[in-house]
Amino acid sequence: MIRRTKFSEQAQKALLYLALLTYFVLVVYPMLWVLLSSFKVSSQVLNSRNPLFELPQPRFVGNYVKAWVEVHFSRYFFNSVFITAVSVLATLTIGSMAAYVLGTFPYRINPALTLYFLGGLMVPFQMGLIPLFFLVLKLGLFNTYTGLILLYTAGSLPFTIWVLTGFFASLPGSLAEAAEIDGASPFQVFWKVMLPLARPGLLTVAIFNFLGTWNEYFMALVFITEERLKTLPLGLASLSIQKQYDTDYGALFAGVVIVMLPTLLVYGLLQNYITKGITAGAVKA
Amino acid sequence: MSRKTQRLWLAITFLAPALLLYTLFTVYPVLQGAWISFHRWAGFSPNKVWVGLENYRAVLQDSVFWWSIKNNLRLGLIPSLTTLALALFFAHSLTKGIRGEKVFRVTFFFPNVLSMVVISIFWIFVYNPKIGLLNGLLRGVGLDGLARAWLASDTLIPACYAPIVWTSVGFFMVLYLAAIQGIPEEIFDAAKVDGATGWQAFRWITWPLVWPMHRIVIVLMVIGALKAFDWLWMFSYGYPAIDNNTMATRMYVVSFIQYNMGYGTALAVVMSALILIATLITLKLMKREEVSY
Repeated sequence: MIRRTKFSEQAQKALLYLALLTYFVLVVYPMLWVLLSSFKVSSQVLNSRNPLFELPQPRFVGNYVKAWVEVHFSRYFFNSVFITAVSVLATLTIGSMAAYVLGTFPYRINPALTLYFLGGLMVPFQMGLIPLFFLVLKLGLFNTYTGLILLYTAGSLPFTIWVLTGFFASLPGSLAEAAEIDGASPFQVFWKVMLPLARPGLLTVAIFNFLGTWNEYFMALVFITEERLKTLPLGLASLSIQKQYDTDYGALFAGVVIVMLPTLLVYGLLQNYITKGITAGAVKA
Repeated sequence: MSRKTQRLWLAITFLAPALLLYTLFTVYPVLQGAWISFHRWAGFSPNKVWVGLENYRAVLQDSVFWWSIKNNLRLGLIPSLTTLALALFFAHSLTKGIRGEKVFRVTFFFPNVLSMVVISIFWIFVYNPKIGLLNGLLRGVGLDGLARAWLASDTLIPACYAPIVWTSVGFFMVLYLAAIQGIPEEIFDAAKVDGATGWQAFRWITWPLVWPMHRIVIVLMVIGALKAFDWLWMFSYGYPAIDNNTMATRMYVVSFIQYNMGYGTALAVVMSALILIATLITLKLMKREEVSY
């Protein structure tokens, strides 16, 4: 009897690991496949006898050179870094300022304002897309860095304010009071006391906004048409849709790796903040 | 200046940039969209003709739009149920302290940090008729007859199922992880002392106690299904066959390919209203007594 329970327990455990490992392979395999293919010449990808797994023969970095130089991935990379950096910084500054007031000041209008910002998370973006297109055109922001940065910042504000308002509200108010008694101005209280305390929340929001902005495709597709302003996802997508598509598999896969690598790094280093951030947002929903 | 006035000035300066940006680029376009839906307008032309409710009357008679909801439901039902089952199973299995727990958690979430463009390129290659992995696998096990062009219009919708599950399992797993970790350990210990099996503990403790999270998960899934756009767009390069539309692709085709802006925004308004109604119904249906510890 005892031996049988033990056996069935072990069998259960084995089955569990089998399930976990199967899904593990399903997640990792496509990335590995793209990574391997990015070192192959296009003809090897096209005429593979075993498409499931084949090592590059011979190892070949030409795809990366081609993607970086000829297909302008260096340009796209610079654009993405610049646009993402400025947008995330602007979102954090503007968002934390608003969230600080909404989360810690006792004004009667604050709940209504919080709800006003929250509304942005509920409306499907297609609804405002057409007027937004003409607004951007009218303001002369079509095909500009500034335009995309403003759109990304405005788009990230509801989520940022939502999370940070909760975060500021949860900080102990006694510290701010103590600083005030010591003669700190309202701005100094924010800058020297509350903002440093909110650092974990800021970091979580920064990571999410980085991932969202770095990977964003649709806004860029609508509002950027000039080659020299394209972001990485946009450049990658236009490469994959090109007519002469078949001839350029190698560069395409190299491009995928170039887009993927920074997110992989950020996620690997900071994954704790990411999983915490999701739950922080959802638990309050 | 008194302290109170100082604070008021700070509040105004701190709120102004966020309010301005958000109102200008998010709220104003949505309201303007609602206004445009009462006009006939070809986009770039300066003539906007007031037509009252005509666009909405046309929406009621738009069989392509209403028929497209069938695809929203298909893209909602099977992938969502699969995702929910897998996410809950993984979250349940990865809170018991087994070896490699952290590696599995981190890896399973990984698809969520990738760009939609990157993920769609993966899957376009999985489904590629000539060098695709799926056909390679089928031929490898001798099922050559089943190999086909998966992104052709007759299998386009089912071809979206696997990518949807693949990209969302990790996200919902993390939500369930948080919910399960919020259940006090003593409850499980007590059940164990009383001789409950693993399944019983799951069925009678975990399942009911993560109910508030089920509610969030199902609402997110309903909204996701009704907004479904990305996969069809990527897999059909922006031109899904007429039978493969969802509400969102239909709206996009009408507005940006046929340049029928007034009608397009009317579709968007109806779509938003349907999403809101569906969300409220789901929230109501899933209401249960809250448990607090």
